[in-house]
Amino acid sequence: MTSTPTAPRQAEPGVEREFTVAARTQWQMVTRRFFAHKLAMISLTVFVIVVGVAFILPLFMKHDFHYYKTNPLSASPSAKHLFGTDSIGHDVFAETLRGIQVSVEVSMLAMVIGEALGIVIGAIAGFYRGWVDSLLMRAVDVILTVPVLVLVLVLSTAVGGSWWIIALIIGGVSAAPTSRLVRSVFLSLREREYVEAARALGATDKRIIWRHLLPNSLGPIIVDATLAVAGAILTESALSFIGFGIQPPDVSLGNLINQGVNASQTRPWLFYFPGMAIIIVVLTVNFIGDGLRDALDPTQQRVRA
Amino acid sequence: MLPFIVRRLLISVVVLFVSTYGVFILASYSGNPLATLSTRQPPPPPSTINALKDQLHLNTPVPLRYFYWLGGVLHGDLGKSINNIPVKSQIFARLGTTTELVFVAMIVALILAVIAGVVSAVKQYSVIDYGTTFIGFILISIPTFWMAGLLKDVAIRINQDVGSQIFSFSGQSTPDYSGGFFGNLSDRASHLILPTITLALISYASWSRYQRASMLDVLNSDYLRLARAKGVRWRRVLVRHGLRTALIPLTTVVAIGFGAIIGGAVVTETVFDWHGMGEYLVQAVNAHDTNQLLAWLLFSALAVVLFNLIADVLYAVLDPRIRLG
Repeated sequence: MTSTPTAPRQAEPGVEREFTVAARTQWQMVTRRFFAHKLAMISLTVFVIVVGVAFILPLFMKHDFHYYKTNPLSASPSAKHLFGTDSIGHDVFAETLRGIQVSVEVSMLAMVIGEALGIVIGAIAGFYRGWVDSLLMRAVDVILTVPVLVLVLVLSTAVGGSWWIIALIIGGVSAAPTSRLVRSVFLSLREREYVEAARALGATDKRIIWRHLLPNSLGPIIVDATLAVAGAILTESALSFIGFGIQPPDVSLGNLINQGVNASQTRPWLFYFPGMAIIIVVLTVNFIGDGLRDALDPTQQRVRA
Repeated sequence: MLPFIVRRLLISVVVLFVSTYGVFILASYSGNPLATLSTRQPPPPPSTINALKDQLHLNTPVPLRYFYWLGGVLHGDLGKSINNIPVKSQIFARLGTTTELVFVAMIVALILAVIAGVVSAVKQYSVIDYGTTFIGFILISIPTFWMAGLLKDVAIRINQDVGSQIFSFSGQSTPDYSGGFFGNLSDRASHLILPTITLALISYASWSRYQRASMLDVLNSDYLRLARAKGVRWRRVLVRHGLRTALIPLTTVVAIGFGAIIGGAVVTETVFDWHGMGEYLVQAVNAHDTNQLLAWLLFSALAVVLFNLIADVLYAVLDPRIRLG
């Protein structure tokens, strides 16, 4: 309790009052709890710095990540080449920064698509139930029988491999589990009294969904979205690692590590730096998600599960 | 329970049909399987290409072509690969290889996850609890292929330091190696250990978190308090009353995670040069070989569907309150 400007005047000085007159909205409480979550705040800071560096620093670098001509070959890390160079002379630092850019772009787009699609499907299934629900959920079952990586693999060979197509595919596939989540939240929310009240007042389905159900299911959706970002980064990099996904001459952290994995003995920098980049980005995103979960759902014990 | 199982099996058949059909369509439109053949020097005579086209039914429209495959499968024939080798003759050895990897990894992951989950639940908010949670977060954030590469790198260094081949990281056994029964066994084990750890650690992380949560649920329950109040020893309460109940939710989590393990196995096999189903899949996708691809999918989807069914039934057996319907 920092300042209570509207506290009743008769309060004795120095006595802590448990209630204030100014009520906080739910979102104020959520942001408060999130900012108090140390690990999440540290992660958010690290994430912003890493991604900021990855997008801004290349603008000021002399050469882009394609450049190799005058660079030394297979040089170990130095002040000039922070992460060393590969056997052709590519600067691994510049390549890693580009890899982070690709990871962030792909995963963000995939997350937006996956969440949007998942929310629409889940909302329709959960709100209207009946045969629409059965049909949609069986379709989701079918998608879930094929491992995500394999589905993305087959799809990406079918329609080609620029970064936004890969993001589209990953997003589309990840909509399946998201729609299940949204459906289950909608199923329970639609039985609440306030929905009944809204309906009694003559609200249309559209209004109930937009004004009542969706805002109240934002909590789980936001947490799911952060996990979707982490998942998309891992899927994209795995795809690029086994030779599909982002194709050379463009780089992704996955195909960088593929080049470095057999050089881990002689030129460890080719393997360890891009790997550390993925781990830092995914780890911070996961911690942010964990902080959001704690902040959005205070009824849950602070059990991380 | 029997009607439930029958109904689920029927639904599973439909799900299998639709998923193989969908993947077949996608794979068929993804590229021309004869593309590499026609670029060969000297170019093969048109009669060869036409014969192959006939054999692969490439002149039939894609939506109908699937039924040639389906008809074959129903007669126990998985078709031939583009290189004219029956898929059936290739796939079972690979299936065995991958099954070995996946199952050993799952068992290792389960044991580790249950131990870590229970310990961190019992010692909630202790150093051990925070430690395992943090390690779990890190493990979830490490890509499978990087973990595989890391273990490989560390193993090579250990081998060099010790001066002997403790860990092997190429293939599932040494070719032409014969050291008697125990020699062969240790050879296989030395090949199995790194891929297994890779695959196990990935699942371990999420499973241990579920185990911790469900154990905490049970620890806060009334019947556990009652058991304590009756004077049952703490250790017995934990194992007999606590753990047994807390294991139930894990069955579902393991079943759902099975698809991810198969995906992880693809990557793990790539790094460790295993000639399993994963390699087969990558070959199939590269060559646009639909018969190979569908054989892969058939087995993995079958495994996923079966695992889900087993989990549901097991769930009902372990927890009599749950009614299947």
